[in-house]
Amino acid sequence: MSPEPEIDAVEKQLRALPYVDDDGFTDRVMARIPARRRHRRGVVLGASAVAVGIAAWSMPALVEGALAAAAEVTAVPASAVVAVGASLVVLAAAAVGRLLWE
Amino acid sequence: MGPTDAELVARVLAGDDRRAFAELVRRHQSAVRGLLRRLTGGDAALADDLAQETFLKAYRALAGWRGGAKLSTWLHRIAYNAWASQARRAPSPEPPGPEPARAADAAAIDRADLWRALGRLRDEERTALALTYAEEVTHEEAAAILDWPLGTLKTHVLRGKEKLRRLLLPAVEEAS
Repeated sequence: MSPEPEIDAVEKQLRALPYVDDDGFTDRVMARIPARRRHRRGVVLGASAVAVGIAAWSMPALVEGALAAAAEVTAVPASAVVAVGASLVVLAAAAVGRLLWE
Repeated sequence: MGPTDAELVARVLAGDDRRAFAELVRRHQSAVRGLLRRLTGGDAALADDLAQETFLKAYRALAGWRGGAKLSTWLHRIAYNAWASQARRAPSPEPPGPEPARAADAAAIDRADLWRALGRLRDEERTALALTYAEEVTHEEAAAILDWPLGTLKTHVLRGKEKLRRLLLPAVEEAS
């Protein structure tokens, strides 16, 4: 059976895969990529600190007991422990705020 | 030899490496845009819009590429789905533009005429041909992308090619 040239011609064109020049296509795609992803670890850490702060505010008896125990163990005045703890909560909240609104 | 697709994907997922993703786009843009040009019957502007959409979806879903199938096959699937969604929203009217010109002889088929002829096929036939003849896509992969049995794919390919022959080739004189 002789080959059918018609199929070869159509087949040939179907198989031809001319290269499509980039011509700025990649740049256009990259321009539409969303803003850089947040650093999840920082968000989780900051959110946790905020959550602890809120819990401490709403459970004063628990906090008092914890501070007394910490002061005993560390031999550091309770007021100092409170100050350090409050500073940490404020720093964590500031970090979360920066990450969320940058 | 540069990094493999898998290495580039790992960089994007690990540290949102934009250069790595740009390299992936550069590597695969020709194949994706070529496929979409065939699916759209040669509409380059629509094909490029869909191609952009394809790569944006790929960026968002990159963690879903397991590395089992080739990245190019995964991208072809996303591209096909993008075209299919668009076709469902805006079904194409009867093919626009002039009919493709019949070749003066069997060896001379103009590419633009091929695209116009593809535009005149049924969606199933055009889809089957576009994917079957896409870069680095096997028949089995094309059937999987389309979620068709392999036999169905081959039937649509054969019918599509027969129609292309009738549209593009010199009329064959009937045997006496």
